[in-house]
Amino acid sequence: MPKVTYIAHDGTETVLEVAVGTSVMEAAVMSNVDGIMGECGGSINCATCHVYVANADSFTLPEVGAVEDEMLDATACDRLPESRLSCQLIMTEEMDGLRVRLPEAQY
Amino acid sequence: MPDRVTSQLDPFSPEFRADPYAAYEELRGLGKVVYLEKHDIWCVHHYDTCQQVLTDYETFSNAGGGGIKNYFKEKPWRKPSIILEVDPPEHTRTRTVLSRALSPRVLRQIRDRFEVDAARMVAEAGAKGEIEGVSELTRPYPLKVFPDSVGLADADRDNLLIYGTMVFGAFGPTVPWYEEYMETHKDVPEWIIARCQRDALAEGGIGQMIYAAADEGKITEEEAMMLVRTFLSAGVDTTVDSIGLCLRALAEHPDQYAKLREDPSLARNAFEEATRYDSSSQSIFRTTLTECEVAGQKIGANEKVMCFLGSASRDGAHFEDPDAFDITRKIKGQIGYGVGIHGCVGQMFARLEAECFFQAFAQQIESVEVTGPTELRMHPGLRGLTKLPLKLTPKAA
Repeated sequence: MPKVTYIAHDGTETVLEVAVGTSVMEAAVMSNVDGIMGECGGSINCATCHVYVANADSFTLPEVGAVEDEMLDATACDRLPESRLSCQLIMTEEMDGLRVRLPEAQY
Repeated sequence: MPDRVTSQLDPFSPEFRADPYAAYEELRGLGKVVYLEKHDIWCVHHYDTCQQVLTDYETFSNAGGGGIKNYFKEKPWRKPSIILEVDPPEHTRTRTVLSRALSPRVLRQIRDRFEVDAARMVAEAGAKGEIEGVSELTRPYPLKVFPDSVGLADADRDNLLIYGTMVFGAFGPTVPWYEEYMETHKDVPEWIIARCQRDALAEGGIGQMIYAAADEGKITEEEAMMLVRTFLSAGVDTTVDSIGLCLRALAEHPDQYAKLREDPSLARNAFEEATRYDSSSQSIFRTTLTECEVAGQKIGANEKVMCFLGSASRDGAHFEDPDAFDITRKIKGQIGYGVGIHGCVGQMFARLEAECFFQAFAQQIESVEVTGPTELRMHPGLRGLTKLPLKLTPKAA
């Protein structure tokens, strides 16, 4: 199964195997990774699954959608060029090795 | 007669509403999809089927209305909401404007005010000791902080509750009290519309943020007014109810309250659990656009499907020990706000409002007891308390 590394704000790394088709948010929530809330369940409403993709250049990630783009402007921590809502990062085989940094706060 | 599981249960009857959880258990035992003959509607009441129906908006439409009436066949009582009672792609644009206005970035600026108001109101209630919890605490708090955030003037805010009864009362079958109520309060919808106008909303509030989206050309001026209206209809009763039911659950489970009192930072999680355990939005309707199948049951086009969120939240297939109230539970996949594109747009706001309230409560109150019978409000659409007699013992200074 492809792997994703979640890097907490304090630097702690958690590596999860994420099934293809599962979102990076969902996998984190199901495995109790602190720092990703996903309170709306993935409907791009709450902006509490904000992540910074640390190695975005190595992958072809899905484009930032219009709604995601709007919500990324409204996250608790500042938006950076590598900001994504992890509910919109749906796992593929090619995304094996993805590394995401978690912001200091989600709300 | 087609093959289907039927039931005579009436979700709008006083008996059902007095103890919905027993009725839900019966429904879940009957099957995944049940036809309620009293009202000629389908219902789903398990976690997985509620998820399926609520997320498949191409089959299960909101444009047919969130209540029992089928707007494809009957005229709605008011101009339909442009966010709740509409499907994509129209929905996406309006939804995004509201999501932005209620986003973490905005809420962070509001938090301090919520904390101050919550601390003050809990202190006042604590000083009284014996209170009627709804009228003296769990209703005044949302009625203060919510309209303040929107930018509404102070006067006549009780009209928001009257309007809420009109909106959520329309979710059920037409009954005489509702028609009388509409007649008695026929001026209130106009009052609401007047409060939703740009000039009536204070600077810096969420109302003005919605109008700012109109200035940016994302929505029209008329749409901005309609979104403020949606926000005012959906945000008051629901939080009054949910905070009241959460407080009752805490008072009835002293072991759980003790945990919260020892660690007030559990407040947000306690409310999350109450949203699952016993909360305001027990059910919501969808209307089928095409013939479809849910858990092997064929459902025709243009049929109403009632989704019991309150039952999905007690489904043992998804939640371990579902009837236990455990404020430390890690909830994965909350369904109490609905899910999918029509999941509650104000849920982050509700969580913040409640978090500040229960944090203040836990910081100040040593113990809380229910001292007499509690009463439920019986209008359809929402579940909430009208009476919650409480004895509060403040912590020693």
